[in-house]
Amino acid sequence: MSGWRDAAAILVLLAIAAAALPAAAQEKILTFAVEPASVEVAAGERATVTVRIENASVREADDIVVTWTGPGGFVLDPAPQETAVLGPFDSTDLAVWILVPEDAPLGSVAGSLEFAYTYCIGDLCFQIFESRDVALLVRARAAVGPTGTTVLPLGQALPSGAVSASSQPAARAWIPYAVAACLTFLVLATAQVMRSSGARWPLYTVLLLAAGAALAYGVVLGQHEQARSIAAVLCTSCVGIEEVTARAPQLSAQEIARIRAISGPVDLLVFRAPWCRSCPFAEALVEQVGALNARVGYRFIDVDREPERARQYGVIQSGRTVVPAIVRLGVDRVLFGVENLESRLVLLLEEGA
Amino acid sequence: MRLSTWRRVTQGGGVLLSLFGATGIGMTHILFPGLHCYACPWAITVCPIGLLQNTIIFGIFPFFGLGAILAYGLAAGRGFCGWFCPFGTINDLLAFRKRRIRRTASYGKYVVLVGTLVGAWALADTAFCKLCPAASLESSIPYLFLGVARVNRPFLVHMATLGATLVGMVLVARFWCRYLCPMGGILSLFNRVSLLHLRWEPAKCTECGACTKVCPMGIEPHREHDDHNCIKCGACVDACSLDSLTLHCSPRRRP
Repeated sequence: MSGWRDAAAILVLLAIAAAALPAAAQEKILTFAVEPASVEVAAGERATVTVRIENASVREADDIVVTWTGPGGFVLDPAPQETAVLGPFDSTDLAVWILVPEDAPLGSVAGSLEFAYTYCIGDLCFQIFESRDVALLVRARAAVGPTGTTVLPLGQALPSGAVSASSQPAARAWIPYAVAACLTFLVLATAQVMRSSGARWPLYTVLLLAAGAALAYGVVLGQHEQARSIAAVLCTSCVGIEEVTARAPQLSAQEIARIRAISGPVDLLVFRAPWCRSCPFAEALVEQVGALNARVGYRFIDVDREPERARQYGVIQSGRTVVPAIVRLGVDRVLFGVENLESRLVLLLEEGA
Repeated sequence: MRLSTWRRVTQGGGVLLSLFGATGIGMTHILFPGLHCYACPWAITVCPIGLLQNTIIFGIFPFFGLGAILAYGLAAGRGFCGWFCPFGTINDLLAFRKRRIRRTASYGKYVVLVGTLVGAWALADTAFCKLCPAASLESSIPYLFLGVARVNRPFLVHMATLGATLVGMVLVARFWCRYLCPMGGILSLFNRVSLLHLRWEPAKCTECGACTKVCPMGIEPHREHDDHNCIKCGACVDACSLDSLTLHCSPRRRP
């Protein structure tokens, strides 16, 4: 009799353990961070967020799927790539594009990204669901044409973003020149006075003070940042890597047909700098491609404002950001420069088709 | 120790600084005291000539750029050409034929300097950079291997200017530094006031001509030690057996 009782007790304990194990094991092993949590976007355009998925466990996560929950009309377009496997302690960045309908209500819209994934312990598998809120601020679509079609005039001044520290009211624009004139006068006057005496140290002292003053005033104006940013961004047409291209893109009839034939969704990122004179050409070309085939989405990225993105997509080559550069999401190759860009871009679009 | 030994060390330091970006530290705010292309994939410093052209294009008075150049000039004048500049070092390595300098032609560097600045203003473009042999060597060629540049017309122009400059360097020692370098032109303006300077004691000099024979810039060091063509390299100091010529880094004596 006692044998039966023992066996029953063991069975009950096993059943409790079997029930408890999933409860204990069904823990979240992935963390999701959405960046940025709120996005400003025009109606009819796509908002981009980056989802950083980190696996903080020793297990493998499978079939990570991202979906969108929100008001009607908003869709993830193109559908985010499904991550098949994320290994232990691995992480990945996923670009998610939220297409805002043309007739979306203006103002703040709340939605959320839903994540689903599975992981297994032995034969036991669990599906986990998570959700992150995303706030969209929908603006009216700009009435003027897209930025890429406006060709920048030659020698145009740096936009305010690049020289933010030196931006000053126009009425004060003469001050730097007055300071420069004063310093020059001081140096020349000292040189003239010292000429007869033969002593050089007073002139040397004045020159040294002038150097210090110029450096300090330059830093106050933010010119040191400007110097760094000019040197850190390589515009291919500036140092003679290729010719300046400031014409309208010319797609041949055959290329247009090939672009129209592209069936899969393609997303392009165009990296540009405000002073790069070939960038408007690259932007205009991508816009033209987008107009020819609605499955080609694109976004322009200013490398001065978003250097992190340039780093993320390999547009920075050994510390130098190269513009213009075109990246196709999911393809590990960057198109630098503008030479033969029409044919190179068509090849990139057709890759994997 | 001979000055030439020390000079190899500092020239090595210049090459090291010019390629320090290989460590991945990225661009800094520092201006390079010589001619080194900021577009070079491994550069961490800003090219003064490139910066000046850009500030002209943007219509900004370059306080920071000029202040830094002034500071460098006051410290060593053209001493940077002889002791630090990596492109000068390449000139040095090819300095076989130490011929006398053509004085009139040596003003060519000021023509290049003014042409560079006026060209930037007139064309609203960094025109000099597209011809600069330092950019050919330090940017065009590396970017060809990095898959950014392609063999096209601008690339061939760069190769032509580099080829011509290299041939010039072989035929005439320090050809680029003597006749064409705009950075050398700027730094030479400070040659008479810089802390680093040559001192000549006429009492010890027998006018033997040993210094003239070794001068890579082709000047007569004992007569022209503050000349705009002197790069203060110290070859004459090493050659002078009577210690008539000495190199100092200190405030100057009353002449």
